Amino acid sequence: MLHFAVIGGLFFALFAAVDDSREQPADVIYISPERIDQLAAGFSSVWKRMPTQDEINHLIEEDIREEVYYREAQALGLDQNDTIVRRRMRQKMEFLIDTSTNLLVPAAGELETYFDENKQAYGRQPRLALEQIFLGAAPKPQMVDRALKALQSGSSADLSELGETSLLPAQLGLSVESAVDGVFGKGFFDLTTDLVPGEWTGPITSAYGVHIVRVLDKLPPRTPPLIEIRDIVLRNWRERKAQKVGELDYAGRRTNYTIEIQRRETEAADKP
Amino acid sequence: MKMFLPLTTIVALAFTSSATANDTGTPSPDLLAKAYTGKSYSPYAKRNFPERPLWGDSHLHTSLSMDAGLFGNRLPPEEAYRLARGEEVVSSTGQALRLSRPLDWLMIADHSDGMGLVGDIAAGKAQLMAYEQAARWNKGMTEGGEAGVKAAIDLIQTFSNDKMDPEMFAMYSPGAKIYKNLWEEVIADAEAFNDPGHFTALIGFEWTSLIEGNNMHRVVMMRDGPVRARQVVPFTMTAPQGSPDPRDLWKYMANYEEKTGGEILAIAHNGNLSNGIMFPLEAQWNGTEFDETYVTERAKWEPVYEITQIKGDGEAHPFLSPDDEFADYENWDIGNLDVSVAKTNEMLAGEYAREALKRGLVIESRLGTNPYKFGVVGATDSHTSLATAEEDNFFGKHTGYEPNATRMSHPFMETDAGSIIGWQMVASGLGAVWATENTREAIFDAIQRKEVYGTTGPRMSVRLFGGWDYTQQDMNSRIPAVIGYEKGTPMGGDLRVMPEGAKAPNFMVFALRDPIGANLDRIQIIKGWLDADGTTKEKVYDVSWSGDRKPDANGKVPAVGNTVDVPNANWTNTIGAAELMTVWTDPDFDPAKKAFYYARVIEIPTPRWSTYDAFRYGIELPEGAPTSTQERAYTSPIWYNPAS
Repeated sequence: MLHFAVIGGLFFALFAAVDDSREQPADVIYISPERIDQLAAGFSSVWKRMPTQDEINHLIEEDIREEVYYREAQALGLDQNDTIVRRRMRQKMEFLIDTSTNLLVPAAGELETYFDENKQAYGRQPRLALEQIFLGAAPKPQMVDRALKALQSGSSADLSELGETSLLPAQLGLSVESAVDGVFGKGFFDLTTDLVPGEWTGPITSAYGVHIVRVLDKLPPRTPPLIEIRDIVLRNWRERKAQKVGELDYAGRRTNYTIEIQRRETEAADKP
Repeated sequence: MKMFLPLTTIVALAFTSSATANDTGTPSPDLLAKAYTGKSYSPYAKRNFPERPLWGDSHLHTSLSMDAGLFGNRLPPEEAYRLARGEEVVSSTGQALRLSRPLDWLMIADHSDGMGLVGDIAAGKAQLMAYEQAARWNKGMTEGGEAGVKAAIDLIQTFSNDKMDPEMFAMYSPGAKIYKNLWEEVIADAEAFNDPGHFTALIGFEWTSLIEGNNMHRVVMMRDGPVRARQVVPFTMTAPQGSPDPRDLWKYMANYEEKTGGEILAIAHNGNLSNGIMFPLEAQWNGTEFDETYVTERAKWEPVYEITQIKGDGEAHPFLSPDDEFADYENWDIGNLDVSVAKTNEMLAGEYAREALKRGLVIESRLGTNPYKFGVVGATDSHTSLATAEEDNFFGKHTGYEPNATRMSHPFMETDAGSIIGWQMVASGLGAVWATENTREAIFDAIQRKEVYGTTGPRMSVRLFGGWDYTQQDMNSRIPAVIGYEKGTPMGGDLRVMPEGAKAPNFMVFALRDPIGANLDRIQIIKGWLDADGTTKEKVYDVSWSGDRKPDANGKVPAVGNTVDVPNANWTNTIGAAELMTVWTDPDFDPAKKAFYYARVIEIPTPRWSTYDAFRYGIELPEGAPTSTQERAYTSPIWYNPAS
């Protein structure tokens, strides 16, 4: 928990250093050169050009007006119990905690442990490249045998003579399961993924009919080593950490308060 | 290509006149022989044409779109990508779903006007709560139930009546930092899911032009990645930053290309809800007559049209094509987009794709360029973040129409001018792209050259080639595409110059059924041409069909039959064919007349999504709802231009 206090403290210290309104007496409104630069920068991010002198003067006047009303409103206690103000302040607290997690660096071995525990999220699917001859919806068994023998013996010189004309691609480059099944129908990848590469095998049935298939290349499923994808893993680790940090930080702060909830009496409900 | 000249002659020709122009000396034939090895022996090597169609949706909305968010969509772009990629997600109404198969690509095209506004109001973002309108709506939405509905309706009315707080709305318009940040997030989400070779996430948006309730929408697609896309923000239709005039959209697009060096295109849709102004013949929507600039720009920036989607099929209409028994498919012809003005028959000619293709020929002969020389894709335009176009897995147009027992009978739109009932939503469509690889660049380029087709949801493979010397022999090749590309042009192109002695063009067309879908009924080729008297004609030819049906006296092939078991929402593939193919020659060709040809592939009847709903919820079908549907694919056309 120590580092939360440190981070939180660090931010409040920074905030105090940058916030120059605290240094002035209550009845002085001081517009610093830095503040004017800020106003000009805000203007040019919207209008894509620097403001003219008139426009700067207007911006400064508006800023002063806002400061005057802000102080008067504070004096009247208008910031108390305002939903919008409350929400905004909560947002700022959460933002502080959120930002601080971007500075977090994993301890030695921490990222490796995280990666090991979440390996399945980083795995690459296996891929298959194949070529196939389509023999039609219901070819005679002798036809299938003949074609298989011709292919296996390597004697058929022109593969494009064998098989039926079809839009089904004669060859598929390295493709994942969903791509192979997308072309030939569900289950075709499973039927072909264990075939010995380089050998013609058949009959293999797809959603369209009978094929003789030769696997050309295979890429096994692979989880890249941490070093290849360190950036992505680090980012995910930070996201996860930010969540945990947020919860722990809140839990810690909550213990500072005694909480009392008083509910109205309601009829005993037949609620599930 | 075969080399017809002997190598020595080539060497001689190449170097006689330009001997002074090179500094490599004069090569000898044997040196050159190594450089030109001819076509590869293996038919698979060195091929650079597309091998399989890539399936995607070019038009999907997420919670970032104002209207989607209003109707309760709480799913951001990440969820849309996850579903498209093949994962299971939970819809905004809490129902789990998954696509039957992943898509290969997706473009999320949220409305550029007010992008992100509704979601931020619902979330109570601090910068908005200072505005009375937003705080009030947020209160209603947080309460939910009746109060939530009231808030949503009030928001819509306030927007339609132009009573949105201008300062508040300006934050969600081009020029504002918040708008730029939202666009950055859109780009970041696309980057996170873009996986070249596996799944492509295209960057784009929808420009929502509405002219007095008449639809003129386009989705805008960028070829590029974040470096170029983030140099601009989307173009809206609201002044002063935006405009509802397509010419201003094209200016924006030209500026994008010039400023970033990237490429961009636009895809119009729902001509059927434009009350005739989508494809005019004489003048633009505002009465300005066509000029050469208009037609050239339109042809340049809008290479394809979204021909079918949830809000109606846009290929043909029975009034325009009385001889086409398949033209009455899922027509939405009650009125315009908000049904503020009813439809009249005179409007129809400016609304449907086939008629537009014909009109394009007329305009071309008048002004020299065909502004309606478009290819076609299908898309959903779903506002649920869920790209569902399958009859048995349809999640509706927006969150209010996700599956439930009343969605079919609930009115979708209802005004004095007319009404559209829930069952009329169409579970359509998808775009198939013959791209050389699954990357942004290859998919964009394929759309640009129109080598694409659209379907009403199923994934049938369709190839169309046009040329002058295809033969039946060519179909015997096991890899027909090789010959297709060699001897002619694929879908989306122009026929090569008519050779000496040729009598008529011929077309090689193949269709393979969806691997998990229904058999095919028939392939048709639809021809449109420009007659000498300046009028256009059309004809639908049945060119290949299943079984041994014979054309009747009028040349029409009888219906294929129907195996749909309505009470059980089922069908069998005992009729139709898994694959159809043919080489067809135009029997009525006149070389003097401009023409186009496209293929339409029709499946056997299958249960319509309404039939699935009736079965699953145990309810009656509403009156008028068809029990079955014959899904179809429409290819991009091939054009014939007479030699001048």
